[in-house]
Amino acid sequence: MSLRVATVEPTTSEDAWDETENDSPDAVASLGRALTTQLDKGGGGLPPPRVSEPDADGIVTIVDYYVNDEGYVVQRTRRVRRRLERRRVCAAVAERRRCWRKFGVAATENANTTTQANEDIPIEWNTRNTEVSDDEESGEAVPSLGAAPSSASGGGGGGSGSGEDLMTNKSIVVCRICGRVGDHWTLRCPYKGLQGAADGLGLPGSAASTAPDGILGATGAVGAPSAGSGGSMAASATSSGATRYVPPSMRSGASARLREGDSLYGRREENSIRISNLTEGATEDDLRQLLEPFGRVVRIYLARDKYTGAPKGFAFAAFAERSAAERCIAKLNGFGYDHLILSVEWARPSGDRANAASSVNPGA
Amino acid sequence: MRPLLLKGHERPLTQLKFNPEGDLLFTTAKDTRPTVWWASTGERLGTYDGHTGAVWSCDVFWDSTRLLTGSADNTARLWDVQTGRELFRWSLRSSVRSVGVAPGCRLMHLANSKLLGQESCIHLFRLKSDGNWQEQETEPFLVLRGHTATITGVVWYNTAEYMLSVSEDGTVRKWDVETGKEVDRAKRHKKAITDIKFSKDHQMFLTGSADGTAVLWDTHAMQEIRSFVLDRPLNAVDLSPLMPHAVVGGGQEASQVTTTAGKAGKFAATFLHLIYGEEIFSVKGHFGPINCLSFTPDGRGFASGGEDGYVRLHHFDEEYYRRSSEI
Repeated sequence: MSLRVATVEPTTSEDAWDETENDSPDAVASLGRALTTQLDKGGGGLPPPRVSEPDADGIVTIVDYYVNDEGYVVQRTRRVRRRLERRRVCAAVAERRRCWRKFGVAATENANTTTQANEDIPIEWNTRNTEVSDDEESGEAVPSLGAAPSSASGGGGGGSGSGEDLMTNKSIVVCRICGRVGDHWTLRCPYKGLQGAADGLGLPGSAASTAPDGILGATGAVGAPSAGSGGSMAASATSSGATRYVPPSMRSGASARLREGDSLYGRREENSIRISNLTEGATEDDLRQLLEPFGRVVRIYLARDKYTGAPKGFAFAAFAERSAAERCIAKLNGFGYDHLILSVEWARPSGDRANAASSVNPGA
Repeated sequence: MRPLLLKGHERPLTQLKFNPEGDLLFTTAKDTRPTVWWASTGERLGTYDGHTGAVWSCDVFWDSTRLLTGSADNTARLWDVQTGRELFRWSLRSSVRSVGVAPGCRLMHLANSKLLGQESCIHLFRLKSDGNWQEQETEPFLVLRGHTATITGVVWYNTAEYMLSVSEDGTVRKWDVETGKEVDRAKRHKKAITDIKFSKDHQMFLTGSADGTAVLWDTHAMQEIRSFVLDRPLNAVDLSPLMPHAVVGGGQEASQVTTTAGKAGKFAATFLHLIYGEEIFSVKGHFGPINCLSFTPDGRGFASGGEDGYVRLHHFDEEYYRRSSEI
């Protein structure tokens, strides 16, 4: 008797549309881990499926048997959480959902053809907007991802795009982030990601027109001192007057910094903080927004429930600099966030926690 | 987002279609089995077995009772959606590349490939929708000729007065359904046009091309409103019914795919803002070029089908609405 155990990836929980349906096990999308154990080959009739009572978490264990392609009888154990979700739909949809049965290949299939992605697929927001406008002005033919607005009349091509016209008239284009009039769309604001930092650092809002040079100049200054070891990319970036944002990886000295990056993993442990008493609705994105004003955030980990994926109410975050973490703790500990009061402290390595627990126990 | 992965097809996907209510998703692939899925859970509802060649295209009737599919076995077939039973079969002289039912379900079109010495043209048929579905006319009442290369997409205007077709010859043509005459023509793309989709109100349409451009057009003037330049050949486009967004997808041709292309992000579904003309975000996931894209009819999600045989069904997070409104 050969024994083989395969792990089937957890899939989505069922959105049941009606209380009366989905009583048959095969209509239930499984949630959690399912173990497939291969039993003896051949054999007579299949044992009947067993369905356990729901446990404390509402998880039902279903054990059933089927014959696979190689003629083996396979025992399949699935842990399923059934969740009833009520939705208002139009009558035709409800009728279909209630009455239609599977047909074709779907009626006989055993394997899960549908799974849910294990990891979160993030929406990758596009942030490279400032360069595009510069290039358009200087008339370079850049195969940018953005569009070249063209006139609908068909006759006029060239640079007389509708957006540009609006900007030169200085009429209605007001950036909602930095407040400049007629310079750029809100979408293209160079301070889009810096809003929190700007608030925290007290940049003068009224003198916004001078701010860009200040900030962009600063990035140039960061790059300049370590110049010399950098590649030609970095050299050209600094020589072009530091008017453009240069990503850290392309700045001079980037290679040296990348080498430091190897030790980043070891270093960030000590700059980690633990944030507890978070609301269930908080996401990584929210946390990033909350923490970024204090300094560069290297890592954010939001603890989630293994089965439901709902946040557990605490998170870890690591800053690049210790001072930033200190400031964050000083500021955010006891800070009211959503409807709860945050507790922020230094994260202890897991080893320490275990020691602490064992040292407490004898005393108690 | 945690998309649902629908792994029912063994070959590259060719088309995705939601029914009007958005609860069913129909997929066709280069295997012989058009498939229908529950769109809310991604569960496979059934397959339509009978074709003997790659299935290129499908369309579902407004009441979700009948499905029309077109295949490289030179047939188009009519199916009962609920049971998967074949009701009727039309035969053409080369593979059926595009099928569609006109609004009102009285007319339908089949477009064939330029293959086997056949000209690529659109065949218009009358549908007998009152009584017996199994007795249909086998001969078209009109044949629309003009494209010099294979027609890749045909869409009906919402009054069924005229239709638009795109082709590998790079042209968009507007046809009068009454007379069968070509009433307008526009050429903007340098290479084959691969997809065409109407906006919800049919006043604009979007075309995507292998030259890496997507163009938004005014339906009545047949003139370009905006064009988008991307860094890869496009295979699929769609317009959101909810937001001023479009989604485009593609990638290098299957024969030229290298192992680095996936990392370079060429297989992502890219979202464009129609008003700002900007790329707003992208969603990765496929291991091969994206062949077909479709927003759900309510605009709260989208599905993508790839050369890798997967359909990925995404439901947007709250973040999508929040950040879209901030733009």
